[in-house]
Amino acid sequence: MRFPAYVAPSRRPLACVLDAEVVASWVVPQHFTVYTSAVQFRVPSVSVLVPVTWVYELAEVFRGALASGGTTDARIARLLGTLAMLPFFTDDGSEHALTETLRVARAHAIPVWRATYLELAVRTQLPLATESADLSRAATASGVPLFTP
Amino acid sequence: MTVVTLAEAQANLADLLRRAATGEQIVIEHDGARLALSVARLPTPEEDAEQQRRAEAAVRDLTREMARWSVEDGVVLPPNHPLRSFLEAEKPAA
Repeated sequence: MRFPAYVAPSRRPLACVLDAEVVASWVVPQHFTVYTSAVQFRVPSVSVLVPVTWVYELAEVFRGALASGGTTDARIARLLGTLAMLPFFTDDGSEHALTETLRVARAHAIPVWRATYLELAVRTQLPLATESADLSRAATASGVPLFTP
Repeated sequence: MTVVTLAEAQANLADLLRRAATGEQIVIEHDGARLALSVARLPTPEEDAEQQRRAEAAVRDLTREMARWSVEDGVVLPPNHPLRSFLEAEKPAA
């Protein structure tokens, strides 16, 4: 569902901003980590927020994993069936793309599509769930805590 | 799409909110502008509990499959990895 963060239609608290790479890793055994599995187990009992670019990034990670043989269409289909039941909410914050998101990207020398996570975490004061070294470093420098499942 | 005046909206607010919550597009005309009525319906506590139960079951099912995928791909999980307990549970009894 796509709603501004302040009206996410869920009774469960918003717990974090969730990196698409964490979710995509659930279908790539080579990328199974303790952290991504812990996030997976935590997600059903909370709500999570994702930026408006999230679904495209997820598709891109899937594309790369399929091309490298790291996953299969069947596994992705299986994951998508599960995702449909999870309380993921898409923030409608694209109006920040050319201002604050761009500023964050420049300040931390990260791509804009990755800066969307940090801008959203800062704006909503939510921790960030990621294993990306660049994004983790930028979050720490911005005072954004990393999500502990 | 339903377009109403502010006076009509005030007189029928409960009905308009109910219809907007089910996805109907409601627009209120006021001072020459058209204002879209956007409603996000929170689930009831009972609905939320049921959604959470289904989500937890879906994640458990997915996790069992992930454990199998790791075996198929020959991935060795570290000793503290949560998926290991699912693999242990699926081992046939000796």
